[in-house]
Amino acid sequence: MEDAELQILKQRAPGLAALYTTARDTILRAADVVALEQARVSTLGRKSALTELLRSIPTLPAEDRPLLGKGGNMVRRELEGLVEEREAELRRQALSASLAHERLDVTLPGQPFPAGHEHLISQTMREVEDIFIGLGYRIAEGPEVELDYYNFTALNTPPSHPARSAHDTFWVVEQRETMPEAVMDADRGVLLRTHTSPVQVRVMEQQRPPVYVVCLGKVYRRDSDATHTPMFHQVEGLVVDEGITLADLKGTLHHFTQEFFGGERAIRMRPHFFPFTEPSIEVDVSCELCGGKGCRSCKHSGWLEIMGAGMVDPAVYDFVDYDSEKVSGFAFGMGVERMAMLKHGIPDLRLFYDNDVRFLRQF
Amino acid sequence: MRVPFSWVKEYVDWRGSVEELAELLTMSGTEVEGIDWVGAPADPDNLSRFVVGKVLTRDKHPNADKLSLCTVEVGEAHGGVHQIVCGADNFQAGDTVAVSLTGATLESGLKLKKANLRGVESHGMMMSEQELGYEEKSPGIVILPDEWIVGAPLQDYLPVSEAVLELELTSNRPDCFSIYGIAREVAAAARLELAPPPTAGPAVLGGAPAAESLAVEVADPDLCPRYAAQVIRGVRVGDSPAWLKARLTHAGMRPISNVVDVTNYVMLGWGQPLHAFDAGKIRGAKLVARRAHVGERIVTLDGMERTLDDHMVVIADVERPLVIAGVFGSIDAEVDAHTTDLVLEAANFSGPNILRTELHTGIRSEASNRFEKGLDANLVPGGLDFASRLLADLCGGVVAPGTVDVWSEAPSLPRLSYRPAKADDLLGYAVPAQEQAGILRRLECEVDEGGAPSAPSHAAPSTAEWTITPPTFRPDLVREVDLIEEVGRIAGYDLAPETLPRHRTAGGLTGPQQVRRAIRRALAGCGLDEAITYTFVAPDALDPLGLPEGDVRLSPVKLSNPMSVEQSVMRTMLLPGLIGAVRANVDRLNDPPNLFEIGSVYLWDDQTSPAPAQAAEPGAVLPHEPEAVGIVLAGPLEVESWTGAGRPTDFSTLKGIVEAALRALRLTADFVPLGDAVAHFPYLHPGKAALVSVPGAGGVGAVGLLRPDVAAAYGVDDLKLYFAALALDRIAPVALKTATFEDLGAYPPAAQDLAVIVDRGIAAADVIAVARRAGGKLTRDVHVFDVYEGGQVPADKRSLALRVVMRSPERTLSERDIAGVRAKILTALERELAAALR
Ligand SMILES: [Zn+2]
Repeated sequence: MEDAELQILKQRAPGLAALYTTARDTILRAADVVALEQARVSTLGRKSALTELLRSIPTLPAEDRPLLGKGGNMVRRELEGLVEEREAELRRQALSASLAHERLDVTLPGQPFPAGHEHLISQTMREVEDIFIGLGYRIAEGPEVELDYYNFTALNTPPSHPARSAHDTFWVVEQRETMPEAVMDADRGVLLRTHTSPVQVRVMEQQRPPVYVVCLGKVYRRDSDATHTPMFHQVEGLVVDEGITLADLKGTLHHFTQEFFGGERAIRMRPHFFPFTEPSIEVDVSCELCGGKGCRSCKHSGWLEIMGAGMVDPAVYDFVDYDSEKVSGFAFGMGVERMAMLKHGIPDLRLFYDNDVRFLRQF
Repeated sequence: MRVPFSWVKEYVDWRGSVEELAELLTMSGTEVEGIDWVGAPADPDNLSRFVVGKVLTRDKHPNADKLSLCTVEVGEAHGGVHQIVCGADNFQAGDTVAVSLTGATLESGLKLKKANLRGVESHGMMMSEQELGYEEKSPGIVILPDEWIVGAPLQDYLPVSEAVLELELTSNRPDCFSIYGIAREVAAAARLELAPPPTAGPAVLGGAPAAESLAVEVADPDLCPRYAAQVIRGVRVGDSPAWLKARLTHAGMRPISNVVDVTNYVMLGWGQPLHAFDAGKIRGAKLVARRAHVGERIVTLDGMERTLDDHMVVIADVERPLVIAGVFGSIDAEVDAHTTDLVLEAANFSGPNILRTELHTGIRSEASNRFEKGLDANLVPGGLDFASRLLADLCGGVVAPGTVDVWSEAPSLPRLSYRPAKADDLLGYAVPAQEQAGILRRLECEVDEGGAPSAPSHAAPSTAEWTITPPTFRPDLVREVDLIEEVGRIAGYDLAPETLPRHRTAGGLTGPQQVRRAIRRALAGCGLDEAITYTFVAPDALDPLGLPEGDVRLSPVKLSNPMSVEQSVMRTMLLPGLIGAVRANVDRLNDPPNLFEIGSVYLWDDQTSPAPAQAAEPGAVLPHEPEAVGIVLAGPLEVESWTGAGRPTDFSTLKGIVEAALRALRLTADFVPLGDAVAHFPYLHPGKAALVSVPGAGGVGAVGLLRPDVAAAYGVDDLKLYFAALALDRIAPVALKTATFEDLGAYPPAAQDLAVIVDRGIAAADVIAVARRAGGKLTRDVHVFDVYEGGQVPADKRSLALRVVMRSPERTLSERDIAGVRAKILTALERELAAALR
């Protein structure tokens, strides 16, 4: 009851007002639910002063009845509300008091749910794929056991080309029904691809420009030490379209390195040589450790080599019947492990293939 | 290649630091791997302590027989005359010598102090070539030419300290395999003047013409396009001067004798390999360049006897081979200490043939390394002139007039059509036409800007067409695009702006690529770690499996040149690699891991792909490379914790994982006992394994417990290994189909549990199938929620607790509906499977 209402009641029905204030104090003073029930019975029960008052109304003079009838019922509702509120309050207090005694050690470990890990190489390849998908590329694939033609010849690296010797190729013993057993070993037509570049040729054989693809997968070279494993993974990119320039290659690769490595990493393009690109370049990214000032990890140059690239050599177009006067393009290739090593600070390539769960679970 | 900084500067006037030169070379296409500082420390203070001196007096040391006491003039700036004690014997008063003064730090790191040698003070040291770092061992001190100015810094005459650029050269640039060639690159990139070639011939000729002493015949001009020789008479074979030893040593070659050193010096400086014969050892006064005979033998200079074949070229006299042409000399015509007359060879050999000879003999020399890349036949005369002048100057020889020069054909000069505008188009940035012409000229291309007669001389740059004639030492410049690369790299790729291609296609993953990602994510989500194992394995890797004879998995793709037998065949299954990964982890005391791998296997099966006609000989095929998923479980996924005991891995774990992985592809699978297929999967426990089939795809693989004897054979004795192999190539076509919405139903479902006792031999799947069918269309799901054996259940039976979930799309089910379904199911189970309600 608002103070103003109570004042009016006091003026017009002082007895009723006194009854109300007494009952209210009784209810609010109840310290627990038992006391509150007693208070409720004493203030609102059949034998309470209020009930008796209400019951006596018919016996009152006619002019007093409306006032006391209305006022009495109002007081009753008020008191009932107070009992309800007080009860809720007392229950909340009782619950809090009991919760205060319930304690557990929140520093104990959580229930162990199994959580596995995709291999860092898979994660890195997915990351690279997604960056290029965002640029409108599709993902192309090709066989790992490959023909010499796709791995070398159609990439402008014919037999006896000196660039071949740099590749340390694994050769495959061919299976041909028409070939006598004796010459199988000597044959040199099938190999384990030494790079993902053969997929370039396969893609161009199958579609006309525009071509925007990246190819990721396993490649093989006869080499094994801390920086070489005989099997590793590469990313290859190929774009062929009208009016593609070296500046497009630079912009694309800079976008990629910033997305992949994050931050403001600079790139630079150095001239290089690959048989299937002309001009050919190698791409360096600025060293993050030293910020380009030079440190041990970048051999004091401030730069880390990350990939080879270039404009597709017109000789390659000849193999797939593209017209180099109408279209131009670029290609690039990089080692997935190397990208992951640079990004995550992994010192030894062989860790990727030890499959030690202590390594696998770090990423 | 090792390029001494001071040597390059003989040919180009480079004023910057060696580091700046390295940067210039790297950014113009000659990769500098590092700078190797050799000799004494290069700081100016240290270098000032090395001076030219003159011995004034030489007397016996009063207290030591083997030492002499000298006074040496080193110039006013360095204190005039010093007293120096010296142990060498090869000098006398009046000789000009190399002096290091007190305080100098030598190449070896030794710092010279004022010394007291047997009671006599010594202020400095007269140096030997060993102390200068030019030789491994020197018998005495170095005697310098008398013209050198006493007191002058020694560094002005000899590289006391040298910075050597270590270059990583590419095979397309044979012209860069010489100091002069590198200087040409520097001049082009830095817009400097290149010195004239250092190939001036000898000042004086004498004696009978060369042709009177020597005949040359070239039997195989295709393998030896040019063979030229000069004759030098009366040489004295001996020691090389210090400067020559310094050059060779710093460039990475060992000084041998003045004659050999000159040939090596000219090769390093000019790029043309040379060979010096002792003329007296050539029988019949004739040299023949011919193919070796099959089985012909030669003892090379390293003392090894080599057997040749008829693809290799030798230089022979009338009786025997003397040199494996372009690769390695023999002991038979070697220059020795008694040699007086020389035949000096400069020749040109076929690059690919030299490469082949290197591969077959295993020999790779400085000379063959150059020849294999295809040298310019026009280097020959300069090489002969350069070397014969030095032989005359340094070895006292007299060069005979005339050169014997057998040259089948001068290389024709390609004339290339070149559009400057095309360069701008390909590079994406404009290089002014005049600059393009300048770059090409600095690279010694002839540039004719006149173009076709129809083109007016003031033709707009966009249509200009030039004719370019590249120099013969640039065999890599044969097309317009090759010239564009030259312009681009010398102008600098840092000029290129960064743009993105204008037109683009829509990117995305193919269906199978999405499937691969989804299953990988699902398996990792189940708690498995992804392994990537080598795809090549040992030929006996599958031996423990007991595969039937003739099985395609036993005929792997074989490598003809594996690195080791352990990695000599391509895998036909993922299993051995995954077990290897388990074992590697256990060996490292990790908990037994649960792994999966997604990758190709390589099969010579009936799905090999024939090579396209343009790509290989007829009949060539590539193996089938289907992609597979392998799973191996070696330990618990729910591990022990304070919250509970964990749960050991069993068949249901593996099955649950496979189901979850397939569910991620929106697929379900049936698992059926192996049955007859046990013959195909002999490595799986026959009673604890199943075939997996996917609706729409059929059989896609098998799952089960690996036989304990198989696991033991792989060295995993004490672990139960659960293994699954799924053919991803068969799953992918039906996977990730678009899901169609199914109404949730407005009315509540009702569940009924019933436990039935059936024979142990009856599969749970059969019980469920009967129940579902009998339950009719109100039955939405039936599944087993408990299995009980033993107790009151008879020994040959088991109790299956089924939960039947019913729902109607039209109304809330009544007690009657539910009881009806329950009764129908029980009746059918009883009738068809002799099941009894428990
Ligand atoms: Zn750094």
